[in-house]
Amino acid sequence: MLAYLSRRVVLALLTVGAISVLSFVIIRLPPGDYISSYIASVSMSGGFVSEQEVQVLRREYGLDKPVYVQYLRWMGMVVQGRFGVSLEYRRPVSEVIGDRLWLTMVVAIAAVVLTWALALPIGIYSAVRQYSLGDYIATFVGFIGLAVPSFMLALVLMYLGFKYFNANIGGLFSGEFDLAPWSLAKVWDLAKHLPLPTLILALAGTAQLIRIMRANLLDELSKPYVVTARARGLSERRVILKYPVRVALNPFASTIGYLLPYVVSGSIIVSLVLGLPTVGPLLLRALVAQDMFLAGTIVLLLGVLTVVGTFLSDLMLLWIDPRIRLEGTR
Amino acid sequence: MAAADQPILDVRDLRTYFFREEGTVKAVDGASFEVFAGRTVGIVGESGCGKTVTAKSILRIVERPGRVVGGQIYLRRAAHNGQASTVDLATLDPDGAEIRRIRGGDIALVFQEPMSSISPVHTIGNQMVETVQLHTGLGASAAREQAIEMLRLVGIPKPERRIDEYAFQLSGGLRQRAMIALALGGHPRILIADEPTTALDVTTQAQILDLLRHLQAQEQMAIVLITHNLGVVAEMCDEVVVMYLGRVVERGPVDAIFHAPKHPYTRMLLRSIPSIHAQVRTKLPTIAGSIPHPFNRPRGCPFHPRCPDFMPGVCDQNEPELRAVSESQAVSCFLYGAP
Repeated sequence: MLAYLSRRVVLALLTVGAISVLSFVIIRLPPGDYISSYIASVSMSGGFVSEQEVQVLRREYGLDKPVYVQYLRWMGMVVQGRFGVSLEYRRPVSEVIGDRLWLTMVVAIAAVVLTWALALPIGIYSAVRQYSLGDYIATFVGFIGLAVPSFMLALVLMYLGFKYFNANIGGLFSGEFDLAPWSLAKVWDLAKHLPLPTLILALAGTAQLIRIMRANLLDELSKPYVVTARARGLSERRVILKYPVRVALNPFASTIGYLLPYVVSGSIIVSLVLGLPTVGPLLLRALVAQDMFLAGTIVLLLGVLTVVGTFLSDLMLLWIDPRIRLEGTR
Repeated sequence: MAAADQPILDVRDLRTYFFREEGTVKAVDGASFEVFAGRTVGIVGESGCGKTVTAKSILRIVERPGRVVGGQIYLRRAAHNGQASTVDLATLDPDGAEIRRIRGGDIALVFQEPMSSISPVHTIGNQMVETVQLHTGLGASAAREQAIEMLRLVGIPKPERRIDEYAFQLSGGLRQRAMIALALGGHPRILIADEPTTALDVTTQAQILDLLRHLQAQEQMAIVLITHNLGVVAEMCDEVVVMYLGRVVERGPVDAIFHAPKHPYTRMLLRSIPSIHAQVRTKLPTIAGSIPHPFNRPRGCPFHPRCPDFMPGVCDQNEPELRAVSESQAVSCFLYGAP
């Protein structure tokens, strides 16, 4: 067990290293750098940047050094817990992300909880009452949910909300609270704005999860251990919930790996459409502006979270599935 | 004692159909047999002739789209006032409380695959304690004591340690023993064992059969042994029921079935047992053809397309019924009485 865990930790660290190289390379892939896109945006608004200014900027940000030196310098900072300065915001990257990070987490965790709360019961119902009217309805709604892109759903809901309820449902705060310091009133304002983005973000995942839960459970329902449980005189509810549902839930533990980065980045497009102040749109803008330290930090963060999430889901599987936990101990 | 002459389980004309989109499958189509306390009935037949569905029908756990559509399943139970009462399981609500008390409490089921018949993510003890508590109302620690006793009874060494293990940690033989212990948790009077030894090697088979006989003597249990292994039948059973395509084609005491089989199907089954006295390098006789597809069951006697004694104009026109040919033996065949 200990050998297994330490092997996983070492592998995880190696993976994180590889991710850091990859994210740096990917960010440097597009031609040009922050300075050239800065020049472009300045000259687009009619300004002018002198050659001398460009040289100064390049030197200031270390962009005149070879790529591997830039990478090593960046890594050197990261190891010390500093992530560099956002070229665009001219503030430390950790500060720029920090503002948005926990708002993203609030929205995403709410969405994940809602997804599971909706999908698991519906999935169980769909499997147990296979081919019933309820199953067909769930399947129909599920496929619609899968087929309709969530930004489309967001647009439609925003339109409907604006037209019929005269409510502007974008963002997470009303205008007057946007820049206000935290107060109870601001929290309450957030709570009022939260349900709609949560619902939109949750629906796409819900449809998918219903299908997965239904398929998993259908596989288990006809297994002999279910028949045996029934033959022992247990009530149908107990038979279903204690045995096949428990087994069908195991694969979900391995989805935690993908859940964590999702919780942090959120859905970029939906966040853009709804104007949510989350990390997703920030990443998009950083990539467009070639704000390499900001973009690199976010990509690195997502990569690390994926690795951590996978590690956590492995631990969770060990905990809930005796077949894995006790492998080789017989 | 008059009660001993009466069967504790009396299945009459049981019919279980599966209503599929492609048509109706008559998995069990008029099966009748009796089970007596302390005795063993063997149900034999090829795969797909309705043995397992019969067992599930008795417990009313046939999966959709299957349903018990006809017949009676009379279970005699000792009522609280000492008077015996009879209940027809076929009329009970399959989700009701009464049939749930009977499942595991009066009639228990042991399956052929001990590995997949025990939950892979719960310990054996977890499932045993659950059953004991359900049927006895004991507290958790008393139920655990009893579960350990049960494991000891079925011959599992170090039961107080094994009880916290999972099915996959046990060997095949121990697993089947645990499965039997699990079934015995509610002190059933009837044990239905569906191919209990099929997945085991020969030595273990013999041990499990010994165990069943031992338990039967100790608990005065009736056993319904479902198998296609006629050797097991000869060793274990008092009565034999031969099924073909969902029907009972012959039934009688084990000696009569083995020494004076009446139905051509029974005879052919017996002839296809490998014998130690057979000439070497001779082919083992088999039953020609295979079981017809359930959607197009043949007209008349269901066995007539494969029957060596097929009488044209009789067997393909009329359906034979189970008729007594002696005091204890009954057969459904026109060889023993024209339609």
